[in-house]
Amino acid sequence: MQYKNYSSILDNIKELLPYLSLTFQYVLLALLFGFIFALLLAVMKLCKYKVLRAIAQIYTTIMRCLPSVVLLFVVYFFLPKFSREVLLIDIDDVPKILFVVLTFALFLGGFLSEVMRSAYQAVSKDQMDAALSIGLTPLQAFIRIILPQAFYYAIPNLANTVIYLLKEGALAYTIGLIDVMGRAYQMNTLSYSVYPIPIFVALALIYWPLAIVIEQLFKILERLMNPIKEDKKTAGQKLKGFKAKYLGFLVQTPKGGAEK
Amino acid sequence: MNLDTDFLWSVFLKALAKLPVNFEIAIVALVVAIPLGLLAAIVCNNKVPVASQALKVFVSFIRSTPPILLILIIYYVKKSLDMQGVIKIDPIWYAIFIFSLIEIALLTEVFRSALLSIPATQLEAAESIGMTKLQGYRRIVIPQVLGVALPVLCSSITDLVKMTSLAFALTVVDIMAIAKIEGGFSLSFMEAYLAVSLIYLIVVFVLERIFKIFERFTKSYADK
Repeated sequence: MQYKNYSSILDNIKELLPYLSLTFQYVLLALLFGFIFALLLAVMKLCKYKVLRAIAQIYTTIMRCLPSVVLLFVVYFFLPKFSREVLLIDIDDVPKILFVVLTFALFLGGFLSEVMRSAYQAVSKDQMDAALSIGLTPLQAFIRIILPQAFYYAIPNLANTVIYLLKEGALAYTIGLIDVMGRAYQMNTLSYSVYPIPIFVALALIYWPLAIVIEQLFKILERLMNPIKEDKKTAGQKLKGFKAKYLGFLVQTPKGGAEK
Repeated sequence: MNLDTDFLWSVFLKALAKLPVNFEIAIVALVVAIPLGLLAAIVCNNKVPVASQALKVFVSFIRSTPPILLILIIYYVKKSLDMQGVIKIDPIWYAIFIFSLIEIALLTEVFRSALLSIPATQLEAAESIGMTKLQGYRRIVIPQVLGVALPVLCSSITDLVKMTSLAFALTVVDIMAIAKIEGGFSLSFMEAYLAVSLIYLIVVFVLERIFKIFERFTKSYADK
């Protein structure tokens, strides 16, 4: 086996970057499934049956009380055993990302259901009444009036959740997933822990800008979704400025556009 | 599917005996982080040149890197220090160090927003009756800040207790490490981690209840 030199932070960043795709995969998948699950829980929390409300509440409390690394291990050791002994299906060669997605979907179900509930309750009841009074059906009123406003209230929490997910997802290396963190750990092992600091600092330099970009994107989204008009206008201009400044290379200006 | 409840119970008891280790890390980190976080927040909000910019970079870095990554970096620093024989101390001190750093960064943000909610006139009024700025902060502003920040502070304390589950990566023998060791001996990892999750469930739940009661007592203070 060739002995590798990982002493350059810049080279390490280049080596690590491709593995971000797996990180994005589980972040997005966990968000998707977590969102669906949370929707169910939020509906349970807002419904009139006491039993359903209590179940959803207890579930959320449990998820809030567990450290993610503990739940990750429980899922990782429980699921194969359960499917082998009860469902009689061998899932030993299922990709590890499945466990990560499942763990964080379980977590996000609890978190996001709280976010959804509080956002829904933040929209005043008059809005629904007003919508119904002008002849919208309850479904129309919910989709056109309540949902956009509730979404606006939920954005800061959503941003926190996504960054939380990105950060906690790094723990997936403990079950052997080779995402960006897992790759850094693997590189460290392959080089016999001679260059741990350049490798992990390179990784930190990947996570840092990533979290900042996500935070800023959600801030722009928040400004765009702001119900007050003037703010929306400036946000649109800011978005244009942002595009011109950072994403200029994506927008191809047509040649000779000035003459036309 | 059968659950080895005897084993689960034995791991539960063994891990429970290590709970003070987790608490020690969390409490020392808090004792360090609350005053330093408050100071950092005041420095940031007063826009002290150089210091406030440096603090902003520090806070942003810590808040956007996964805690486990910071812990691994510290772990390798510890390893090289151990190998060179510079200092040899209990790994728990490294854990306390890194959790304090993380907590300082988190609490700086908490206190910063709490400080912004206290009107500047409070400090001005304190100065107008002859208090020094330090007195004004100590007697007027900081008690109010603590009152306002309490709910977020409490939730960040429970987060810290949960975060101490990562201390095993620093070779600290805490609850998680017990689960790893016991699970490794008997190869029934599932029961071991279930036992640990039970402990966390109880501990964090009780903490949250205590904080809720505590908040009810201090609520009148935050309203004023």
